[in-house]
Amino acid sequence: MDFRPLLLVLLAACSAPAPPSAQADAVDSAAAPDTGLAFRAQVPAQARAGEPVPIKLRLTNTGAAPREVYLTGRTVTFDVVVERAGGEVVWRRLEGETVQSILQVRTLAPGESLEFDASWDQRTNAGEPVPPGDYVVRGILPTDDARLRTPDAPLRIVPG
Amino acid sequence: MSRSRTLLLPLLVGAAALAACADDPSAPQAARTVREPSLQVSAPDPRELASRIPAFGGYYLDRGIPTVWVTEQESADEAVSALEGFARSRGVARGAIRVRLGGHSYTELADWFDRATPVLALDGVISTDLDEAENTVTIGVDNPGRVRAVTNLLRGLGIPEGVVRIRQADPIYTTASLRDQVRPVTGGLQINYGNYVCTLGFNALHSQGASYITNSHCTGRQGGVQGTVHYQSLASQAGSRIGVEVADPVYATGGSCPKGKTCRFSDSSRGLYDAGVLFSLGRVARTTSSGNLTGSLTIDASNPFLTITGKGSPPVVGQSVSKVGRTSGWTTGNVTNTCVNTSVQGSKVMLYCQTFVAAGVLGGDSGSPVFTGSGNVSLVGILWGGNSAGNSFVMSPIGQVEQELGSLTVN
Repeated sequence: MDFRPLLLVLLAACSAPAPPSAQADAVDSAAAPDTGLAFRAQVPAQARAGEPVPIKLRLTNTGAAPREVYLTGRTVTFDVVVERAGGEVVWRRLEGETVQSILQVRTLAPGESLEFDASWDQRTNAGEPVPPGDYVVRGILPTDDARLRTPDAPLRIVPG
Repeated sequence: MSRSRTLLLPLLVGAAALAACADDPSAPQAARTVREPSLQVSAPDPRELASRIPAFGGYYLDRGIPTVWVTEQESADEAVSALEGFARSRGVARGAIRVRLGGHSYTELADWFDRATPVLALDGVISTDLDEAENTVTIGVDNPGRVRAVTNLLRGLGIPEGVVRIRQADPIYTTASLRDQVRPVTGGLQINYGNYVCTLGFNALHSQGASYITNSHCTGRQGGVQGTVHYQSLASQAGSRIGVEVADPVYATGGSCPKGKTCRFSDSSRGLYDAGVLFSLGRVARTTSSGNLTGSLTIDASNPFLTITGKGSPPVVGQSVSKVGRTSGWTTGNVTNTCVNTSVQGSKVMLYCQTFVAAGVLGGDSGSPVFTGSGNVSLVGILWGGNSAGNSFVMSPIGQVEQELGSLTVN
């Protein structure tokens, strides 16, 4: 099945601001449920300065039928971007990296998810610690057609 | 669904003149089929069938109906049984499988096909084909004047007269994509193994036989030979198997290779074409347009090839180069860095002395041929990766590919 039109819908949905989370300790940013695929970023709502921030990305087939997804890399390539509240990028996981340009075809059963884990050490790509404040975290998953992006997940860094 | 149309001028070996001009939609040479992507069902391997059934003479789809050649009628049932599962997967009952009595076994055809490979070095010879639909070996030439030289060489190679057919192949392409099944196989087309998709770099003559080059990481394991079977464009398509990985040097450790890394000079591997696969030496699929970040994926119907005229010198910073890949298409940009020792994200691999180009790349472009020029082109390398933004690709220079895979004749 060609899922690209659905991906475009998903991308459009992902460009909207993330709704406030009801969870106390995490923000789970979900894409529109009727696209058949949901790509979410899960981060703590708050972290102390200097503590590593765990980041989990999850791609889920929310449809009723199996779905093929074309992902990049022998080990699936994914990126994470952290921005200040004003939009300035402070950290990008794949900054300066060279990735292999191979496609990996994965079939997700209905309800099945792929998860990708990363950790941010609260430093910029130049190695400087970032100050306390409000940030947003976004996951990016390259495919052969478009880049899946999670909605922005807010993260507050508080003094340690 | 097949959407092919072929204009062919059949010529018989030894015949003095062209026999006929025919619009022959059933002929497989230069034909192109388009299939919906599915990775579940593979077509039977004809070589395996030949090893089990000596009278087996090959099989093909005749307007969707599996059709098998045998040299003895007594072997018909066995041949039909061998294709029964494949036929059922395509919605065809056993009783509908067709049997044709032919003059040559597949084993004989494969032997002649292999021995005929040197004719590709002759000017104007564009393809050799173990022609399953005609139970023969077919050689494609660009004009009838090539027949005498081909015939003489075939005789010298010990191939019996009358078993090889020479045709002037002048394919007319309908709209085809780099991701479709395309014959003859050229550089720039999608290939598949397991659950992975890459791009075929270029075809080459090697001392071990007719070969294709793609990335080392487009094999079962990066470094070392696992006999990875490649398909063009997907394993699920009938007749899509093209060959087997035969060369992928192991990555070295120690010496100049940094601690914890494994190193090579190129991300390249070589596959040996199966008997019967129609391919063109010195050709890269030409799409309808090129761009910096993305280019067309549609093969130019009126001008379907870029012609490789030779191997180019290592590109220098500021020089314009291009690649054709199954995902971002034909892209062009300037070299930004040369001889960069490059680590590969997510692996221990480091590649010495690689070239960076400011042009588009996306997942699936691995293996793309990199060249200078836009009509007659010089091959300069093979793409294997890029940055996460998709606006800079990395290639291994052709000289380093040959350093590791051996001498390659590319046109």
